[in-house]
Amino acid sequence: MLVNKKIEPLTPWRWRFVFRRYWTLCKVAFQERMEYRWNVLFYAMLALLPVMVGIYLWTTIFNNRNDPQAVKYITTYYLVAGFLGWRIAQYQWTIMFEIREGRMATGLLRPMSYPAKTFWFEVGGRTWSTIITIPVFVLAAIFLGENFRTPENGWIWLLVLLSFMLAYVLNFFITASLGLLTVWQNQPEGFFALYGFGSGALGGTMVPLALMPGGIGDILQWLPFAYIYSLPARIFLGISAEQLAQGLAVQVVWLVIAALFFKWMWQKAIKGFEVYEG
Amino acid sequence: MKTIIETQDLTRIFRTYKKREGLKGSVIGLFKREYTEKKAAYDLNFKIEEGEIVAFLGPNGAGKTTTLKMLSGLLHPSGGDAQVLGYRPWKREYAFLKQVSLVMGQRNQLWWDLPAIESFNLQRDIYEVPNEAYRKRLDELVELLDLSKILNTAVRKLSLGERMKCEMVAALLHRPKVLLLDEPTIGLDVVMQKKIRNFIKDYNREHGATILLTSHYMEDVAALAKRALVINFGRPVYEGSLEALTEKYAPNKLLVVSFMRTVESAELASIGQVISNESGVIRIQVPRATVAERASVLFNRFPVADLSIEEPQLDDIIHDLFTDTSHNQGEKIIETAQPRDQLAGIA
Amino acid sequence: MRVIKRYVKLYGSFVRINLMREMEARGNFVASCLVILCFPMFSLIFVGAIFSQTKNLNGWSVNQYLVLVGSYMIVSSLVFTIFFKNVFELPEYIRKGQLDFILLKPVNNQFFVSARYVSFGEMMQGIPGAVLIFVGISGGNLSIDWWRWLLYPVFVVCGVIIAYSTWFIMTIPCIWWIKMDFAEFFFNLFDLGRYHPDMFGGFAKTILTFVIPFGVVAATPADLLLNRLGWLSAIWALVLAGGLLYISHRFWKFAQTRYFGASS
Repeated sequence: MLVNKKIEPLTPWRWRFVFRRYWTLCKVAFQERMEYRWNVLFYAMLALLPVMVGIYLWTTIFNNRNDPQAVKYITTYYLVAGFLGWRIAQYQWTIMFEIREGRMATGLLRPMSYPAKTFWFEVGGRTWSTIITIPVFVLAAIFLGENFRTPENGWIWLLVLLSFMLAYVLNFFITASLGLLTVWQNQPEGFFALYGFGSGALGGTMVPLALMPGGIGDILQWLPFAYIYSLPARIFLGISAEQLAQGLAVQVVWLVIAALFFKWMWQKAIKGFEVYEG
Repeated sequence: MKTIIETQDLTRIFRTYKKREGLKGSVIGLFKREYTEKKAAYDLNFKIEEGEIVAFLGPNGAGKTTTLKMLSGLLHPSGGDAQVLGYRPWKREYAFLKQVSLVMGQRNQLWWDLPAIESFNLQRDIYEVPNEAYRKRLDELVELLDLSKILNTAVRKLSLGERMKCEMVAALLHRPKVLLLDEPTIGLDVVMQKKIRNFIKDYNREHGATILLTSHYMEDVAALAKRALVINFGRPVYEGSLEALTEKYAPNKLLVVSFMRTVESAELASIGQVISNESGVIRIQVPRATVAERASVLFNRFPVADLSIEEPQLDDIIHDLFTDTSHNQGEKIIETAQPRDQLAGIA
Repeated sequence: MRVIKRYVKLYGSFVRINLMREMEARGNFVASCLVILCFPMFSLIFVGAIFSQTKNLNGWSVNQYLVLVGSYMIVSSLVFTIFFKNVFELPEYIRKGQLDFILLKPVNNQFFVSARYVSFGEMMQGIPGAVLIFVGISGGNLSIDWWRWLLYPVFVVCGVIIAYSTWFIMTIPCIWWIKMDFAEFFFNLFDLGRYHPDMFGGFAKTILTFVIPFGVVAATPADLLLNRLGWLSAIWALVLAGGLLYISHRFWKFAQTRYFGASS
């Protein structure tokens, strides 16, 4: 059987179309999210709740100990980690719905990388909700007044953004792999919810890893969750260049591992998919 | 004969808003929205007697499902009135609901992971059907629909046709007096369609249930309904029996002829209007009254190999009926900010 | 009376059919039980973290706090066992137009919509909940009058009704706004039940007791056991339960008159 083995190289000319394709996708997603109007704002205020509760409780504890530095640290940490952690997308749900509603099946037939499409679509949508909700968190920061520590130097903001982007992509690979389990498991919701909540908790959004009882925090430091949820916040609060380098490096390492794992899962899923659909 | 269903100027209007194109449109949409009114059904007036089978015909979006939903009690009408079994359907009184059943094609109310029999048992509990009566009805329906083998198979494993049959059983366990069927044969293969049709006919004959069905399949209507109500753009376009419909809108019959030699259409001009001339088969349109006479002329003058006389397709008649309507869809565009006007209607 | 009997019997049918449904997929059932057992773990980490840094949190000792968290878990397990699959999936149901069938059944459709699915796996949370309560009681050497144990279920049920009614009320608007994602609202808010309004300052306390009633949900039964329950609070819990349930009923009826049904 003669198969046309010649693959079209991705020339710069074609790049424009690829880029435009994903840009349009982002725009469409953005528009679609705009339809949501008010509930995004409510969403933000609710995301603030556990943050405020945490801040309140720990502030009480540290105030009793007369430790204003700790108060500042914990306040800023919770707000930043809470905000960024909330902006991290849980793709396992997206993928689950796409598989369940047959959209993945049709998506596979399009001349577009399906994982990339899913990734960018969510990014587009989230950009809108992020824009809407930044003011809410800014207001919260102002409300917290002097307890909220802003970074001394402008570069830190950029580094935080960089780390956040890496964290986002890292989480994408992990959660998308998770989402693919839907191909074999028809009721994965419980597990997905556990991951959604648990990864955040184990990553430091519920309690900073340093404060975890029994020294669990030390073990959790090496898991990818810490690099998704707490590293950007720690950078915001200021860490040494050494820790920064180490942090980013480990983040990248985990990203690569997760990407490879996703690739492997994707291959398996496509095969499993054909069996399932048939 | 008792009037079971009666409507008076029944009307239903939907309000939707038009999204403007592009990003700019979305932003504008945050502040100002333009609403459109769609008259899904209006000024419907009809009466249905006990034990009748009546069909609602119309193209997609004509308003058949909307009408059915109003009669079953799912939708409040925007205007007009209706009574079914002496109740106003949309009040959804339990006494009414226990005598009515709505089955929608391709929509499922059975529990997906469990065998159909479990869903049936639950129906029994919901409708409070006494055990003995339940057993009897279940056996009867299972036999009529030939379901004994699949009763204990999980619903998700059944084919569409089998699921449809189970849906019908679930709908009939409480012996409703009125059965509303929305596109019951849609998506089914020809054999299954015929089985469902026969079942409906038998059930109507056995139990005298009044049946109202919507369809855009002609065979459904021809096989089941004596009376048809044709709807288009929400308005009734024709009401009456199918024979009358045929006579009124199809004054011609078709002579389908094949000859032993090639015959040009022009030669047949005196017989009647040639509709088509393909692969040796010629269709000639001829006024009803003159069929016998023209056929014999045909035989005398041409070497006829084969001849048959056909009724025009019901499909074509209906199609003409649909496309003939020159009504506007009746869309009105109204700006928001004011609360919607209520048409004179029922609370 | 006859009506109550009918609904109890009908609920029995629901329990039966759901048991069958869950047993069909045994793997799933076991998996979900295990998953649900994991969630309390995080609560424990949180409690451990806080109390490793302090002995007394705004007047609460660790043992008392365990009683609170345990009560929360018990209420939570009931709320989710009975209502989770129903209320959570309601928006999807409405979106797919499946609600039509339910509206035409000769049964109170709020009951039907809210109760027909039972998620047995969620009951798992009740076990660690009960354990924590007993650990808290024995650890703190708290003595509890026997009659408090009798009243305890009453206030647990109140908490369940408050949680359900509020959740249901929050879900109903999805009939108008098709793509609502209120579930996350609810979970975040319900989570506040882990804390006691007394732990916070005046303003937050007011909000948690009166505006977002979840502060009352677990706090009331826990307070009962810990001898912290004032008359007013007890009555407030009962009033909230009845009132919210009634509001959910009226709101639901209102929503039905506006329900458009799915377009073909």
